[in-house]
Formats: sequence, structure tokens, C-alpha cells
Amino acid sequence: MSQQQIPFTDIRVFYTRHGSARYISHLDVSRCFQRALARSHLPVWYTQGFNPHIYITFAMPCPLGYESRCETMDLRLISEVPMEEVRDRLNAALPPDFRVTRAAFPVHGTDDIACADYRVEVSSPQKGAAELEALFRGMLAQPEIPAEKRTKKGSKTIDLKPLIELRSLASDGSGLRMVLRLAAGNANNINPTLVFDTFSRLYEVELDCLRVEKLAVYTDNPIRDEEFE
Amino acid sequence: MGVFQIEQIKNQLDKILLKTQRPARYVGGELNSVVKERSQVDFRFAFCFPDTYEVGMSHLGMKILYAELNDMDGVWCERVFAPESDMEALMRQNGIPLYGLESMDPIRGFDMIGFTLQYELSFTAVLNMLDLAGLPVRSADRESLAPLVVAGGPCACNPEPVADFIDLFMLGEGEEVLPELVQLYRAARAEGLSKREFLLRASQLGGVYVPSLYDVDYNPDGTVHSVTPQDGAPAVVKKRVIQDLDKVYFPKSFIVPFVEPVHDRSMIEVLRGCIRGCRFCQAGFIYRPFREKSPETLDRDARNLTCTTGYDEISLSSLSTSDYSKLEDLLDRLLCWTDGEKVNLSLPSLRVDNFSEKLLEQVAKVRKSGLTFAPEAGTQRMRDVINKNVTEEEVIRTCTTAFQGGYTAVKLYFMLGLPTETEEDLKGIVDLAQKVVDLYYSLPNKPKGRGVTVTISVAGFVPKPFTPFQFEPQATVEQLHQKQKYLLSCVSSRKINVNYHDAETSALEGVLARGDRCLCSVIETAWKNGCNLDGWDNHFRYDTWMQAFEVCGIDPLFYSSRARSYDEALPWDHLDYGVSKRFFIEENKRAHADACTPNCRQQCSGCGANRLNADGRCHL
Repeated sequence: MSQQQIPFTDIRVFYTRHGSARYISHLDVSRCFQRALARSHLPVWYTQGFNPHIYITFAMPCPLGYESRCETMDLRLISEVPMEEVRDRLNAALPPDFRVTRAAFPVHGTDDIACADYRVEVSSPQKGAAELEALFRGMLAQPEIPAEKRTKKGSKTIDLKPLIELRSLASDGSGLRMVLRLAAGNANNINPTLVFDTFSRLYEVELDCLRVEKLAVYTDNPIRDEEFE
Repeated sequence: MGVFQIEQIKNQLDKILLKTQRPARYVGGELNSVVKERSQVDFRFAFCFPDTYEVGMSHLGMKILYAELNDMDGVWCERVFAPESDMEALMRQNGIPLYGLESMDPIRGFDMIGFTLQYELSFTAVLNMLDLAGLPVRSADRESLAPLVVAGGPCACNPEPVADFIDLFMLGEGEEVLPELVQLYRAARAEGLSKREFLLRASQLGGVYVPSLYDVDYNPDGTVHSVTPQDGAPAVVKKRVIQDLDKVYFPKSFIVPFVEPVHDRSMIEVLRGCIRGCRFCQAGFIYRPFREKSPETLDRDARNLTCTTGYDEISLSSLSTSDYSKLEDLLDRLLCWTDGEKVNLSLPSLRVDNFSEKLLEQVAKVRKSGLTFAPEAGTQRMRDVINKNVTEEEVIRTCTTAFQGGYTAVKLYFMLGLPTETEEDLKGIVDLAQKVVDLYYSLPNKPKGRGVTVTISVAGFVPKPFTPFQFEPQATVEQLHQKQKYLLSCVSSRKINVNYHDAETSALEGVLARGDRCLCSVIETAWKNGCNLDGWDNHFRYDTWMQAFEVCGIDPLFYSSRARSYDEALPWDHLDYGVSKRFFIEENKRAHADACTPNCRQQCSGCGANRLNADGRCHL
């Protein structure tokens, strides 16, 4: 088939998810973008199988419940479209709680992802903010933080200690607000849910639903904080 | 309902939603959902679907009326679905009332709450949703005009089992009567009318049935003696029909859900009504007269929806799409652009007897899924009784074409417990399936190296109002179990799978379908004892239902398994759906004589539905 020779260009789309969009599972996000692309009439590349569909891929999908300022989706265009137009046409086609901030040629591969910053708000129905803060700092100060991580092959125990960096922490009347830098990428991907499930288990504290916002994704550049682009 | 309260609901939801399954069902925000400024609207409508989000969001009627109401100035229509039990428990624990998905405002503050009654087993969900909204379930206990609780949909054709809960019913098609009702309400509100004053006025609107304006008297044996209208309400309420389907409102866009609903696609409505007259099929009679949309209108609808939704599938929906007289014209129009847009067509309701090769070729251009047919009965005699004019030769011929076209799985739908059914008719079901299996292996050009699967899906027959079988006794649960057992004993091939519908579910459906007002207390009792979403196997509690019948002193078999004489006053006799009772009696007699009735295109049988058309004639 001659279609197989269609040349394409990889484009990376950066978008945010807020409001009701945070309750959407990754599978549903993926279908939502497929349809938005169909409505946008951008010249996208389709897979060449028996049931052609729009090719898209997500670098580091957000877990259900998280908001994010820094999601990325890669797609393929078969003819040139200005990046601003890609952004605008997608925004016109997307539900309001997903907003594309920009589109660009990809700079990094997903292998380059090393860590991500999250803003986390957490509270407990049993414990006040000060006590919660002391306990949490206590956990971070341990020489090891054993956590049960579920993988496709089953459950395994990992040490969270080298994978967490606390960037800031403030407590107010209702709970804690913090920024955590957590390992990400193919090797040691962890997220705030794992951190706080572990915290809840180790200290036997009941926690309310976390409020999480992914702030930025970084590469493994040893010289400086370099955002994944 | 202040801003404070609204923010409260949102904040409370954030605390609980992540504890629920598929929370996206409860937050709105989908593409094409309509959000208006509260200050710009004076009429708030809660469109309630008494089933889960996934079921409700698949329903075309809701999409039509949602868009139509929201196109009206100053009207804001929102969607409300039945929460699953995990969400319901959290809502009750946290004092969160039932809210509209668009505004998150509690619906008890709305002007009108409308339920669509698609299925008898959703009645308890109606009560549960009213209760979750913080409203009394009984109409008489809701004293003020707002919120007015209204209902429509196919089950409104016998609304008596829920007559005590709903303020008024709209019979027939809603596109004209619902906006009229909204205007009537606005005027009544401006004049400061009471609820009763408004209902009196509404009862004069065509197609509106206000149950509280009718007194029902019963005979000593429990049958209906008479239904007497009060205060000038019409003695007979006639359902509404749209005269010209090319002029009726149809949405330019559908809401595109995040969570995958049962049917996740564009839908265009090819025709309404049915020419066939299968005697078990309520839809085939209550949606008469037969009316078609033009290919031009349908092509426009399909293009609009594809453009605004991004769906990659369009379903050509109707009761029998292959009876659409201009199907090939329509498919040609659609296929000339759908291929380029990578959009598939699906034709869910094709009949075995007119599935032409050209049609199969056109359909084959789209994605291949399983092939389903509904012979409904296993022997020709039984099919004659139910007037399903399909012959075995037609089934075999169509399967031959399909197998040669690459299909390897066929699903055959049948009913169990049909009037006059014998063991021979049941054995006939399996024989037919076996013939399809044998056919596959006899074909030299069958798909290479692949076996065939024939699935028999059997549902218990439920006699429905406004059908020729409305007089028939329904098979009891025990009888259905026996029939299932016998059917299974006839199967010898491993290529044949048999699926059953739960007999208890069919039995309850049968009671509610032909019930009268005495069932209101049973439904309320069952709901109070925990029944909800009875259409779902995981929710259905048959024993609780049976206890409710007992507590209320009502024998369910009186409604389901009792033969009615032709001159018995039926609880729905004061509602006019076009087709006459005289016709149903004639058809019932013909059924018992194993006699077929030709379809409307072959010969008019004088059902009476033509009276609903302005010119008194059917347009076939």
C-alpha cells in the first residue's frame, strides 16, 4: 500500500488538565484527544492497520485525580502546520478543562525523563496539621522508607528514600501543602499516591483524598534543572 | 440556593469522588455540555435518566430534548443520572443532594424535574433519585408548583404503577409538547398559580396526562371498573406525534462523554414507527404511524454530528433500518464522505428477510463485528403466531451470504414463553441454530481455518400493553426455568452457546408493565426496603420485591400470569396511542389461529394509527 510511505513529522503538544478533567482516567483522556484531533481536522497521521486510528502517545500519563500543568502528548502530522495553529485548533476542539499551552518539535525522548515536581495538599480526619507535619518529616528522615509498589508482575518492595526530595512544606489549619520532587521515568517511577499510601501505612494515619497537581517534569541533565520538552 | 451552597457541593465532591468508581461520571464538563449563566435563565429543567450515566448517555431521546430545551431562551436543561451505590452512599453520608451535572446545583431548586421511563425496572430508581434530591416521592406530598415532576418515554404508555409519584406524564413524542409545557409553566408561575391550578391547565394540553385528575374504581375481583376524569380533564388522552420528521428538531451536536457509555457514537434517527406488526413488540405499535426522514436531512444530521463530536461511528437507528425505503440512497450519500473522514457506519436493526447483497456489500465496507439476527421463535408456526414474518430459508440464505463475506460468529435472539408455545417450538430454536452450524461447515468457500460460533440468546417473553398480546398470561418463573432446562437439553453441539435472561427479572417486568395504581405502594415498599436499579443483576433483589408484594397484600401473578378477556377494562384503556383496542383483539385472535398479518406496505390492516396523521393517511 502506498499509504505506508506517507511521511510524517513528530509534534509534541503541551497541555494542562484542571477541574473536572482530573477525574478522567488515562484511557478516557486518550480517547478524548483522538476525538479532539478528529474534530480539529489537523492533518494527522493514522496508524496503517485494519482499523486505522489517529496515532498519539503520552509521555507520562497522569493518574486519576491529579491536576497537571505539564502534560505532553505526541502526535504525527503529514503536512506542515504552524505550531500556534496546532495549539489553537486543538483548544477549539477540546473540552474546557484541557488546555493546550503550546506545540513544538520534541526535544527529548521519554527516556530522558528523570523526575517531576508535584504540589500536594493532604489532610487527615484524625490529626492536626502540626502533628501531621512532624510525622511526615519524621518519615523523610528515616534511613529507609520501605514501600510496596504494585507492578504488572505483582508487588515488590522498594526504598522511597532516594526517590523523594521535599522542596517546600507549609502547614495551615486544615492540613499540609508541599512541593515534592519525585523520581520519574522508566527506571524508578513513583507518584504522590504511593508516597502517602506508604506514609498512611507506616504511621497508621487515615488521610483524606489527596489534592495533587503535577507542576513540572525534568530530564536527567546533571548541570541544571532542565524541563522535559 | 446561594453561591455558598454551590461551592459547598463542589468542595464536598472533591473529598469523595476519588473514592468512587469512574468519578468522571459525576462531574460534567464534557465536550458540548451546555453551561449557562444562572442570571440569564429563568427556567431550570433537570433531565433525569433513572439509570447509570453509561446507559443514559447512550440514549438518543435525551440528547434531542436536552439540546432542544437548551436552545430555548432563558431555559437551562441539565442532566442527572442515577448514582451507582458507592457514590450514593457517599452522597448520603456527606449530605450531598442530587445535583445537575452542568451547574452542580441541587435539583430540588429547579422548576421542573423530568424523568424518561425507558424500562419498567427503572421505576425504583425514579423514587430513589427523588429521595436523593431531598423531595418527597409522592406527588401529593409535594405541595408547591416547583419542582414539578414530569415523565415521558415508552413506559408512560401505562403510567399507572407510578401514577402516585409523577405529577404529569407526556404521552408520545416530546419535541413539541415539552416546549409547550415549559411555556405553560412560565405563564402559570407569572400568574402565581398553585400546583393544582397549573395541573388543571396542563391537562388541557394535547398529550398531557395528569393522573391525579382521574379516579380509578375497581371491581370486586380486582380488575379496573372505570376511570373517571375530574374537573374537565379529557376522558381519553391521545399521544403526541410529530407530523413531519424533516422539520422536527434534531441536535447539531451531542455531548461527548469522557467515560465510555454503552453506545459511544453518533446516532441519526432514520425513521419512527414500524411497518411490521410483530405481535410481542410494544415499540412496533406505540411509535406508529410509520414516518421516514429524507436522505438529505439524515445526511445533514450525520455531517453535523461528525463535525461536532469527532465520533468515528454513526449508527443508523430505528426499529428496523432495512425498512427505510431510501436506504441505498442514504448509504450512497453517507459513504461518499464517511470513508474519507474514517467514519464507520453501523446498522443495528437489520432484518433477515431484506438483507440484500448490495446492502451487505455496503455494510461490509465498515468494520466487521458479529452478525445478529432475531428470528424470535424456533418454528415457523411459532413465528406465525408472533407475526415475525421471517422464514428459515431467509435465515439460512442471509447466513450463507454472511459466512461467504467472512463472518464466523452469528448471534440469534429468541423468546421463551410465547403464547401457545410447545416443546417442539423450543426444540426448533436449537434445530435452527444447528442448521446454521451445519451450513457453515457445508460451505466450500467458508473462511479458512476458522470455526463457527452460534450464540442463542433467549429472553423471557413479557406481554406488554398496546400489543396484541396484552391479554395473554405470562409464563411464571417456574415455567420459564423448565423451558430453559428443556432447551438446554436439546443442545448437542459445542459450537452453540446459550445465554439466558434471568427469569425473575422478566417476571417482575411483566407485573409492572401491565400494572395499575395498586402497584404504587408495592414499588414504594420495595424501594424503601432497598430495591434500586432493578435492571442490573448485581442490584436486583427478587426476594425483597416478593416481600413487598406480600406486605401490600398484592398477588403479582394477578398482573402477569392472568389471562384477560377482551372486554376487560385495562388500566391503560383511557390512553390513546393510535392503534385501536379492536385491532389488538383481532390480532390476538389471528395469533391463536396461527395466522400472519401482512406488513403495512403489503396491505393496510386498519390498526388505526393513520388517525394520528393530519391527513388521516399513512405515508409508507
